[in-house]
Amino acid sequence: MGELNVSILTPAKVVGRFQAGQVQVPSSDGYLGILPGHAELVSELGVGELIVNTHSGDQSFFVSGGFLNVGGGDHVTLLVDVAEKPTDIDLERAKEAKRRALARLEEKLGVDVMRAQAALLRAEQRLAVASRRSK
Amino acid sequence: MPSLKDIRRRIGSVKNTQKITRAMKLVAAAKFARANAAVVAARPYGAAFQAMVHKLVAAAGEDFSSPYLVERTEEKSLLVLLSTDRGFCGSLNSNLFKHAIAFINAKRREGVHVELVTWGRRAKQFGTKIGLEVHNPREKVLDKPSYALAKDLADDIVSKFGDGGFDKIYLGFVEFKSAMSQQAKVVQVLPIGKVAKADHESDMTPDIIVEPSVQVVLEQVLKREVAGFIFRAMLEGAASEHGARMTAMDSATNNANEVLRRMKIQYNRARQAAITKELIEITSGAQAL
Repeated sequence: MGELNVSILTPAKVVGRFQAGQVQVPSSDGYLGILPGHAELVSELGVGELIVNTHSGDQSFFVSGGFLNVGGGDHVTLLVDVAEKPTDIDLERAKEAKRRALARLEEKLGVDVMRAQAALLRAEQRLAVASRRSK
Repeated sequence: MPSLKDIRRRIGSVKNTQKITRAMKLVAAAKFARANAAVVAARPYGAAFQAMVHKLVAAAGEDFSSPYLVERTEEKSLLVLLSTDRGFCGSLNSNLFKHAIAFINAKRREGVHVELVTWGRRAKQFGTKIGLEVHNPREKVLDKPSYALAKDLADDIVSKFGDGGFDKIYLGFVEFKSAMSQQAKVVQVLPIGKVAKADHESDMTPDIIVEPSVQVVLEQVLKREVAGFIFRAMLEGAASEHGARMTAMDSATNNANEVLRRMKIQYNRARQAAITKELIEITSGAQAL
């Protein structure tokens, strides 16, 4: 069985390119596992943890919003708005964002609940991915 | 003829100016290198994005619609001008504004009413000067181009499109060619023109899976198309700014050298004239004895 050529791209830069046996992608409808030989697929991404299983261990990223494009030749391209390595995540900022989102949901009056919920989800996922670096 | 002291003072002042322009050039060169690297770093995403769009369009066929694609008769349009905050960058902004004026005049002849959104202090000053209505002006857009900011700006102008009151939205920015050459441009942002199909349509496999659905994904794609375009314009604008400032400050430094050379000649002449005058006074004094 071949290997996946995984590219993680953001509008600003190339975050990483890997040879991988498998990737786990947070699509908007839940996690997708992509193995070599997958059919061509385009999917919307949600917020969550992206895991790339390479020879030298798993690589974990926090990603938020974008697309997954699985093309022929086992090319997997992730076009994401945000991609952060666990070590790049600003813990304090994420905690602060979580606190703020919770406070806003608490008030409820005159706030955009959808936005606050999205912000809360992002903060929680960031913290979850960041917690991996200590392991 | 100015006195020796005057010339000396002027030489000093030109030298000081030259020190400043040289320092600005060095700063601009460092920033330019960074901005240029950012433009290059952003290319893979753009290419991969286009490839994905072609694939999606092939899968979707002709039957998709979106508020981003609605064409209306153009009566009221919005021109977004992306300029620098600071000057000292040669004709960069004035070229952009010249372009903008030509564009606005052309639209007026067609009977289209144009209003402005300005990103950058110079653009705002320009808008006030020509007396057009300026909507939420922003500054420091080119300072640190980030995708988050581009998304923010995109939401801003998307909300003005269609039901927001404007039939078409254009972006005026400076395209980056090289440190020496930048090209001012006005490009239509909304509605998004028909997404171009790939040239090599035959080798497209339309049987791809799209999740959750082609309609949903295309909607997201179009949203990012706008943000992505603004982000690229920001990166190019920043690279153009620093490139133009670098060249402008380089020629200012060279110019100062030329001015200094001339003033030194003048200074030496004045000094020689003073010496000659003194000698004449001494000799004529001696003769009188």
